[in-house]
Amino acid sequence: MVGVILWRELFDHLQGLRFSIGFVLIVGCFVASAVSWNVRHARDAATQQKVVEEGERVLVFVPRSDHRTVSLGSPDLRRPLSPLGFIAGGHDRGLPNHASVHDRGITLEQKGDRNPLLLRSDIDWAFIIGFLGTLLALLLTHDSIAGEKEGGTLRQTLANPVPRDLLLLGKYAAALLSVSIPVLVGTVLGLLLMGVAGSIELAAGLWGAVLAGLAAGVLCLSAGVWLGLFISCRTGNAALALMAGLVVWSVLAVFIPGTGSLTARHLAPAPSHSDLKRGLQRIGREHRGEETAAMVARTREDHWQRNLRQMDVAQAVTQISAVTAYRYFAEAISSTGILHYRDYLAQAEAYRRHFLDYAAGLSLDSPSSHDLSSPAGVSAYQASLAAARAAKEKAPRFQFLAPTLAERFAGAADSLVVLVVYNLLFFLGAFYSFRRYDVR
Amino acid sequence: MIRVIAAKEFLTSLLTWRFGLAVSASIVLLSVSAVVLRADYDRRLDAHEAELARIRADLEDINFFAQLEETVSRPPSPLSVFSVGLEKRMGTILRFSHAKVPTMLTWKKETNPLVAAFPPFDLATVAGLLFSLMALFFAFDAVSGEQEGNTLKLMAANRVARWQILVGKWLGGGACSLLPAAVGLLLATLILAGSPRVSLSGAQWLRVGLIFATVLLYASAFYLAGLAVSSRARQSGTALVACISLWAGCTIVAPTATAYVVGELLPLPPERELKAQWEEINRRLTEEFWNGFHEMEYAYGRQRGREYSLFGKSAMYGSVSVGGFAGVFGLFRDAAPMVTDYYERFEPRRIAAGQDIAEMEDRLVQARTRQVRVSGGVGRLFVAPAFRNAVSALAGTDLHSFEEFIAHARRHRAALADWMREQGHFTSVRFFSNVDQDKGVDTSRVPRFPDYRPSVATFLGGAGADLAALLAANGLAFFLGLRWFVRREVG
Repeated sequence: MVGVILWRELFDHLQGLRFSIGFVLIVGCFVASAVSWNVRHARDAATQQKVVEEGERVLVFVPRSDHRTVSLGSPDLRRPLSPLGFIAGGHDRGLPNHASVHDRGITLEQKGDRNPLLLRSDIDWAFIIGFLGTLLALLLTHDSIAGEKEGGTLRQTLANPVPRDLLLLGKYAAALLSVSIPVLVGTVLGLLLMGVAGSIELAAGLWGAVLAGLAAGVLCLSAGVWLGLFISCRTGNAALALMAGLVVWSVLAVFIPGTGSLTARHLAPAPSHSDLKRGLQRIGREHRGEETAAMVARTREDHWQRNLRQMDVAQAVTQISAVTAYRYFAEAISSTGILHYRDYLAQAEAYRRHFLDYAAGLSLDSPSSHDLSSPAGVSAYQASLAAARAAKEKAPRFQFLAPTLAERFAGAADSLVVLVVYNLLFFLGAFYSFRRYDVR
Repeated sequence: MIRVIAAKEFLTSLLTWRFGLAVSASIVLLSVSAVVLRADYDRRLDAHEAELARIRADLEDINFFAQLEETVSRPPSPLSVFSVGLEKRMGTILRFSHAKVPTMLTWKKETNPLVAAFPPFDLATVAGLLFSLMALFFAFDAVSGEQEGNTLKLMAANRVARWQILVGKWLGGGACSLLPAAVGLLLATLILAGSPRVSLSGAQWLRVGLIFATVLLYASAFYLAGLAVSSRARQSGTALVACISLWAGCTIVAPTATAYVVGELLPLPPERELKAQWEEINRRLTEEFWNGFHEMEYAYGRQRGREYSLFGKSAMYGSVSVGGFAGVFGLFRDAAPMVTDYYERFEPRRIAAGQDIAEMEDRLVQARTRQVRVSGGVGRLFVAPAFRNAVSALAGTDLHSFEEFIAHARRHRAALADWMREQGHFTSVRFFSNVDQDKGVDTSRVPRFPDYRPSVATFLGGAGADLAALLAANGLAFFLGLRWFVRREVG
């Protein structure tokens, strides 16, 4: 019986205008997303090459005549583009993408011809599924119950020996399948386009992340379907159900992320750069000796931790929306967004310490300190240069280590729980509402 | 007849569930948003006041005129609650001096750089989504629904022209769909005005009124679009789907895609090149400075019969962007005429180099603002971006407002340089030394940064193109609706 209901509903959806519009829009967005990823990937590869060359150039030994030693110039550490950035860009364009390391800490910078004035959202899977997919889910389901009641067909259907639960499940399965079709077609097309252009280079383990991103997307769509069915079961008017559904959708997709992030900034205020500067100046005035360096490091660390803490609170508050939860899940799986940033900072700091330890362990003469007028001076100069070159070869290079699949899943766990809870809540709401639904 | 139809439409729409839901959603969402945004405004105002205190303290530390670098903190606009626009992306701090031309506001380092991971939020965001949705829900069955219920045929059987029916529906139904918007906005404005830290002037209230009018124009455009779709569609179900697709396209997909495509297609000048140019200008200037300075130093030494290098690097400023002297000049008071003569010759060069740097930075600013302008211009075709831009312009947070502010600061900088020249500060010892002074520069005599109070006409001018786009959208939707309604078979 479920099969009959499912097929009937599915064919109804597939032949409708809503599905056609949704299909074109969603598949079109997936294609646009893949094309823009190809462009971005090519540009990123070129930039990465330049940064490596520049890094090698900067990592040269600079003679410091006053200390008669040689020092290393520390290179910029570029935050690499995640190979799964097409799933969720994580507002990557707005965040600092370079860190320059020095003995006092890390300075974050935004480089690469970005325009801070132009507000750009990524057209990624998180946007397409979280925004457009859930909208299509609402469009397909808002009249599943209320519309059938208006048309009088619900009464006829229930006059047959069909349990209400099965009818609801059939409608759910059909709507989920219908809304998943454009998503799956778009995903395959997008992956093909990226594969042909060579802009998708995934290690075997990362295909699991792609599948997880897609599965969570279907879970998000499922929450949208259950929401549509729930609202449809609460009213006798399809248009009212759609209007209420879209208001709820606006709250989940726009209102909660907007107000939540502002509230979080109020709840967990982060110190400004000026505050940090003042704190460091105070330490400089009030303290002397070895403890100063430790206090400066502690102050800088505390400053960053409070910035990160603000972001954690903002994510926790905004995650109460299913749309945002899916975005965070996709970001965690793709290793983009704040989680990726935290990881990058930790690795940059580890590299900084390693680099400084290495530099401190060097005791090389400055090549310029030798008198080249005598043969002994020339040979000492050459030996000094050779030692410097060897030290440069051995100098540590920054290599960002992407998180493993297990680490990505661990970061995405709470978002997954939110998505499951939304599914359960809307399912229970729809289930109980439909059992008591007056079909007359 | 139009009045009768409008009254009927108004009352019919008023007594529906749509109206109840629209009013409830509008009141709840806008009130909560207003409370959150007011708190955010207070936070930004706190930061601005703290910055002002810092600026005042820094001014007191100035010892001589070469150190005089003015810092201006642009106060947050209380109307930014309606549209935050570029206020959180453009920066709030402007630094300039007689030799440094202001080109762009800075602030990136002042805030948590990770905040960029969250999209901006304001009342225009909520209103843009909600009111367009409501307008379409009020309009989608205005014609097709009446035909399904057979009432359209009865209405058309009377001696009433089709255009009168359409205008009546627009006036009545439109007014009813605008009512929840007006109530929500009014409540949000009251919440904002109720804050003890917000006191709106008469001109600001006028701008609030204009923002209200913009919201109504925007909602009306969507109501007319819904009416047009309803006139075209056979069934109200089809009209509803078409309306929601139109809504999603105009408010979500098109704005996102426009900014994305513009960002990809319009390139920015490579930052690396600009940095190299900046370094080259600074290098040339520094070289010129030191060459001249050493010549002067040797001349002084020859005059005194011995070599002097005690001025040293610490005594001078060679970079365009960095000014500062140590007090070592006190040891060489008799060199004063020579040094003042030197600065009299050098300072115009430094000012010219400042202009060169400003021209270079302007190129970057222009490329950035071009992207914003093109994105806004293309976005106008989709109505929702035009609405956001118009509200932003009226709130004083759009690109035009910031450009006007920077132009205002540039005029002040020119006046400051003229004042220093007229007062003979470039040719006085006080320009580079505080020797023989009990305290630093008396900043009370320095020309103050004049308050920036643009007229309502300036804001309206910034919003002109977007308001025209909204009017055009109203006209186009009405024209299409009339065309389709006149040709519609009502039998």
